[in-house]
Amino acid sequence: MSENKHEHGWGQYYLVFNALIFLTVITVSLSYFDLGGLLTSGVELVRSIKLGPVSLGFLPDIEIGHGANILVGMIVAVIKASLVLWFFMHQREEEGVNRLAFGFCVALFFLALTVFSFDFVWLKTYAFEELAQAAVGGG
Amino acid sequence: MDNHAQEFAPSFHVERRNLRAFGMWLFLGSEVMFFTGFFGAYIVARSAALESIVRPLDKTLGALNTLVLITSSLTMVLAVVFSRRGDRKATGNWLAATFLLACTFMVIKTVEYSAHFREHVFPSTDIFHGFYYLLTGFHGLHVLGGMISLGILWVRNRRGDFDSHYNDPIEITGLYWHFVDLVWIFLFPGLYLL
Repeated sequence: MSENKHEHGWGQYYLVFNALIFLTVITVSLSYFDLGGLLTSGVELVRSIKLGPVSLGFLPDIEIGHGANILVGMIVAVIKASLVLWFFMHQREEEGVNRLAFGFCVALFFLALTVFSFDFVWLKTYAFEELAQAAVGGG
Repeated sequence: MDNHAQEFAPSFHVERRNLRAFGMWLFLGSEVMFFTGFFGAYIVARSAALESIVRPLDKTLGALNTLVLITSSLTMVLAVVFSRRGDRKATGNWLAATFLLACTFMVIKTVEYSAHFREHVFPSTDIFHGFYYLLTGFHGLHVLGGMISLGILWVRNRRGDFDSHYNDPIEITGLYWHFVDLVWIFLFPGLYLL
């Protein structure tokens, strides 16, 4: 909504719309695959390839399981949300404080997601092992 | 509202529009915080559980609702574009299309909810469905609020309240409506797919 309000044709909106539909199809299809398992076996496959002296055998095991699906799904969601924000909500025409007001809250949203996501690492691998051990030891 | 055009310099309209948009952006910022709280609680509940708390939902209906909301975002942005041009008829038609798509969303949501109720799945059934009802319920309330605004806009547009110099309510309702879509973009994979 800046001073010179550009007249955008329909074209770009249909383009964004199609991109959103496409990404929705992608994210729904991917949910039927075990991406973590594919990643693990993919890494194993790469490691087994030997071209003379060249090999990638040093690659570590990657077993993030369902976390891979969550990661990819959230990345696709962030891309979709950005498209809506940038084009449909005309955030690209905004300036100054109109960008800041919402952008700051979005930044806090991602900060919160990051902090909460530490729980995945912390609670799963640490707190519950300790709790379990305490339960076994104390039992 | 036609006299607005003669009375004020063009910059006035832009200033006023930007001020109103700022108010809406602030409100939407607080809405982000609102949903961050619930979404964050959902993440913590999921990560704190030893076994997955996730129960399967109907992906087809969820995906269908996603398509409906994305399409309604397109019709809404077209309503905004035509209202900027002062094309009252097209604006009204696209507003009506958005409203109908919102109705479609609510109908599909009702089908989902009633299927859950038939199977005696309630918010108290397990922690996943607690979050499911909390998140989709609040999102549904937002859709309902948007529908009321869209209805009022349609009537006001028909009455001739808006022209190319004054379409602020359509602009900021558009922002709100896209935000409702934005929330669903995260809820759908978070609850149905992952």
